[in-house]
Amino acid sequence: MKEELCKAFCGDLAVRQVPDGLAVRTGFRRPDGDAIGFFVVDDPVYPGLFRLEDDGGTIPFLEACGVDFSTDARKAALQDLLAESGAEFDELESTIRTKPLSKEELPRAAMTFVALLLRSSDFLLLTQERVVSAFKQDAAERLRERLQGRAVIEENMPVSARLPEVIPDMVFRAIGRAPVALFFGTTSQRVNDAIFLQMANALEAHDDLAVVTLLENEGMFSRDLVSRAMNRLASVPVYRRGDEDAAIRRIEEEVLGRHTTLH
Amino acid sequence: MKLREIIGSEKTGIKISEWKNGAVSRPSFPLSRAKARAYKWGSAYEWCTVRFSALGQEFCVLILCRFGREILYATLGLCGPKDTQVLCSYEFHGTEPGWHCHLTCESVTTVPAGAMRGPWMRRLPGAREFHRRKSFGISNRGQALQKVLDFYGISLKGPLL
Repeated sequence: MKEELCKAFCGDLAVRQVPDGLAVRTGFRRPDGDAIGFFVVDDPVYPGLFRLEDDGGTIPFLEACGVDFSTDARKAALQDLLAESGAEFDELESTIRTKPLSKEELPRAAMTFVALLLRSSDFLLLTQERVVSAFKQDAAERLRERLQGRAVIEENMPVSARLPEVIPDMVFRAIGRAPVALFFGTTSQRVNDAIFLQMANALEAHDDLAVVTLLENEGMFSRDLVSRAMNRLASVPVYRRGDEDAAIRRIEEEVLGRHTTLH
Repeated sequence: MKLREIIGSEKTGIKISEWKNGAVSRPSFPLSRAKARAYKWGSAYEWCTVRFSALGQEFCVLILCRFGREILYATLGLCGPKDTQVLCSYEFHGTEPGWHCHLTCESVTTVPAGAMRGPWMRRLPGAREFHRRKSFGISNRGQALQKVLDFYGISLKGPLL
């Protein structure tokens, strides 16, 4: 049993010589499929001692994926993680590294360092989920809070039996008002879906309805696509940080009418 | 429009920036979800960008290298007005078994803008699958640039008259 466990933990371990030292690959993986790895390099100050370092890309890569280490909570979480592992982050070189280590100290320190890199990658996992769904979840939650009891809210349902091809993210039906089909503009495809629904209704179904797309950031899309959406849809609000309420109010107006919104 | 079509298409207006060290300035490869003003790579990293037009769109490849650790990232993005949709990253790092890609095979319209990587991308070949090119084989900027130009089908020579 011990042998099998050792094989499972160490079977994927690989060591390569690179100009700076040794590159070590472990069997643990980041959410993107790449291995958790580290480098063993000579300590530049103390001859005969070594340091364990990441590739200098862990933190820049996380930041480029949307992790914001400037917030107090994230900064503190990273500092705690580093302190627990006896490592430091060199801001100038964007490198995570250990203190100088003797050859004998390396194996145990390597285990701790791998755990640190593995836990750092959890920041990425969290952000990837947020990248896809945070805007959508946040906006949907606000709309539910705002319109619950004042309109019937349907999710992922066709707005009309005559328009089954494209499914809006949310449909709002208020008494005495045309239903509102809402698309979250997470990708160009969804904005195009909204335009398609609008055009299909205008040409074929002729239902009384309003199609709205809520953009997280209009800079994500080409100017042509944003123009097409603005010129065809009932409304194209932007859920910009700090101005989310105005975007939600704009949809509320579309659902309930201009004079029945809450303030 | 899919990645395969972009790589196979004719490229025009190719512009290669100067190589620099350290932080990648934001306008060089804008990613709206990255909060830092610049992507703070250390001074050991060297980078440049290759911009080109293809299929009526503008693209940018960000090349990041750290030769001492045998690392190269070549990230292809579709340039929007203020943001970038990352479509593919062709990579080697000393801790991986060989050259590989993180990419999307879907239409570019399905790719969220503004993040370097996300669940919409897959690794090819799979992490435990056979890697055809196992050695880094690059030791300077010129070799790095040529490797990336070859991979993305960017030819600096004009068409034959």
